[in-house]
Amino acid sequence: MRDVILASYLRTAQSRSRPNDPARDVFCKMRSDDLLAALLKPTLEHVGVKPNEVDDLIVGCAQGVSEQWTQGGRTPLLLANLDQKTAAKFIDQQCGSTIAAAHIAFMEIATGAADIVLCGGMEHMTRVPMGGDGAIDLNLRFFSDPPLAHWDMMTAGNMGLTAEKLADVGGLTREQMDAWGVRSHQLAHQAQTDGFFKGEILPIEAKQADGSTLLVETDQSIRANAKMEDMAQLRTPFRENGKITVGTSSPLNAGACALLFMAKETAEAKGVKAMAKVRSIGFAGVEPNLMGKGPVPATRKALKAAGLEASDIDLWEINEAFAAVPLYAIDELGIDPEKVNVKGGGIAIGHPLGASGGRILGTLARIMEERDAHLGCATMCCGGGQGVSIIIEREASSSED
Amino acid sequence: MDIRTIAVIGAGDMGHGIAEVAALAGFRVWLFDVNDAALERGKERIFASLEKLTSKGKVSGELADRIRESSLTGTTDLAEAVSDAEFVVEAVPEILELKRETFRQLDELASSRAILASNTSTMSVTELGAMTNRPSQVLGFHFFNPPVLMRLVEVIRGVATSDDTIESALALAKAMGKTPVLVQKDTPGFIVNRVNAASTVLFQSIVERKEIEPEPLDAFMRSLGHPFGPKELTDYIGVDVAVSMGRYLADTLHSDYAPALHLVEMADAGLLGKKSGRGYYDWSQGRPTLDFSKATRALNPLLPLFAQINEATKLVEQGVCSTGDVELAMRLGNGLSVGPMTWAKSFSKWDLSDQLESLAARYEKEIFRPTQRVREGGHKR
Repeated sequence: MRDVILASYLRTAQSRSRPNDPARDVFCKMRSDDLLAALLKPTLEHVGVKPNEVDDLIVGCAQGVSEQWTQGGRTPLLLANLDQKTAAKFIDQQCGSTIAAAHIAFMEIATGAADIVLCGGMEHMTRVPMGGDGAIDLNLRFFSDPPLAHWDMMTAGNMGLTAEKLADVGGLTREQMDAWGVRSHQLAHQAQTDGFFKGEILPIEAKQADGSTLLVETDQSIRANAKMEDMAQLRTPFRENGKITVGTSSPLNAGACALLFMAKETAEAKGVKAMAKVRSIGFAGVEPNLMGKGPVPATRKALKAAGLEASDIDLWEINEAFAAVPLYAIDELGIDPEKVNVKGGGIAIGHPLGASGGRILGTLARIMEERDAHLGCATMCCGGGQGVSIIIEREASSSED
Repeated sequence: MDIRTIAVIGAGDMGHGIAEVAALAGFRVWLFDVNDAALERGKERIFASLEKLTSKGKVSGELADRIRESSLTGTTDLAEAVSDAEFVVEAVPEILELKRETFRQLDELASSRAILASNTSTMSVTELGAMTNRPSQVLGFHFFNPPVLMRLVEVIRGVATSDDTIESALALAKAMGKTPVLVQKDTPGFIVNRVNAASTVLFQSIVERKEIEPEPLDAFMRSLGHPFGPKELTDYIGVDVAVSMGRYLADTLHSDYAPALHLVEMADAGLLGKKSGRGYYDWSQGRPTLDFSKATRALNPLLPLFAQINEATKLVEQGVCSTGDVELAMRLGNGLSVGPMTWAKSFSKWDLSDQLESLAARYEKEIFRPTQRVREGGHKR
């Protein structure tokens, strides 16, 4: 197998989506495929790779319906005016879609089928709201056929209910989760104030509902003044007397991300510096009505493939679909919470479903660089009951002696 | 129209709540009932509720005092109640002759400028308007129980109702802190009761055939996030009310809406639910506690939704309201975070039509047959 490196990463800021009040989403007039297309060339240019050197574009998105249908990943490539010789494909592993795209890029390059692969993620939760706005039809046998009843798709289809169930199973308290929500906002706000995210966000000129134009360059869901007292006041919308609130759930967002993977030898020949090397990948299925468990078995597989223990990992990004997800994984895998989501997570930065995986992976590589860390793991849960995980490493200067 | 004074006719379950909502919103309120006992009871319920709201910090003591001392006045003199009112809400019992007579009197006694609204849930607003010399100033203004907590008001346009009257009523509902949904045509059951009627027919059929007992049914529906199980809800609103609603819809729309035999027998036996202490459940110690371990596994949780969605498409087909209006009204009226028309978007026209056909065949109810709109996929729009 050939070594595979992450060479470049860019994303858009993540707007706050408002399916019931579209004008308040700063990306309300922008399609997600246009957001993604805007990132592709700059991601290549950042490291001096030419469009005709790219073998494949893999587009991840959780809701590939209505205007997020890409004709097999091809339209974002054509919208960006890249080279027609580059192949494309579309991958849906729900919220893990862009991590899944990275998995495939890793396999294509490691096996020698490709040298340079672009991965993209995109999701617009105002223009293509959860549930697909009429373009997705459930198979009703899940609800009528007794042999299928055990999948409990009424719960599995409602992410908030799966999180309530995860909190029950994991013995997580409301206070624990509220505290994690506050922490996410505080850390993200600090990172935003420090200008950390400027290093990964490509500002986008976005037309607004009133006809004006706005330069969108900051994430729209981070709260500067999140407090435990306010968290405690929030209702539990998913279940009567539940534990999960909007403050401990990720918001709705629109955004896109792009990641460039290369064979290590190709990068070296071209003089491209690696952000990190892909060490291993993992994916696994769990109960559909406990989808938030997903990161645990997926990460166990990735750790095993790399011959590592959880304690070897210096920094973690565990997607905050809900605060319950990282808290559950922390308990199960025995992780030091101080190493997790150190610049805040999806609760604050936002979670545009299928576009989030690339965001946490790219952000992880940048934090590892900032902190001179050696090993990092990015993992997320996926609707329907799955987990994806990816372990990356960089040669820390401290370990080079 | 500038509305400052509101008269509420009837101080019962709904009337006292509507008067309280109006007073809390800062209106001058007259509350009428036929005798002192009924009036006093209504006022006591308002004061008890104000006490509760004040202690929870939701209403200032100052406002509560003002309501008690000056802005809310009870009277048994109908002429006094309505003489200053710009907006009159009738909330007398659901007896057609009583409502008709009330509207005749209101027309005589109220200022000629006043709007006369009915809180009826089962009667034709157009027919009530015809009792007056001002049918363009008559409309439906339908609150949900309890009015203080429920945000929805269905604003019903009768055949003769003017646009100005509708505008005033919509503005008034908003000024009362409520969310109005406009019902463009005066159709039996309006939106929420009509859409609920379809699932009610299904639930009653299931219980009538003893396929599922009330408690396992309710426990199951509660576990899906409904604030009430369907049978608990029948007890809460009153078995007699459910029977008359069913009979009314059966008379005006289709015999399939008629109340199930067991429900009629309960009403005849005086098992009226919460108000009589017993219905499907024993209410003598307050709201019954359900045993959630008994929740049925025999019900496809989507069946009641299929029936509701189909019913809603009838309203949309007839121009009563939009799909979005149904969704909003059902969320607010039933206390749901996701209403039936959001669910509808996830069902293909093929599956939904098949499921409705088999529901119609199984329970021998023509009202479950899929509408043309469902067959064409219009339930998603």
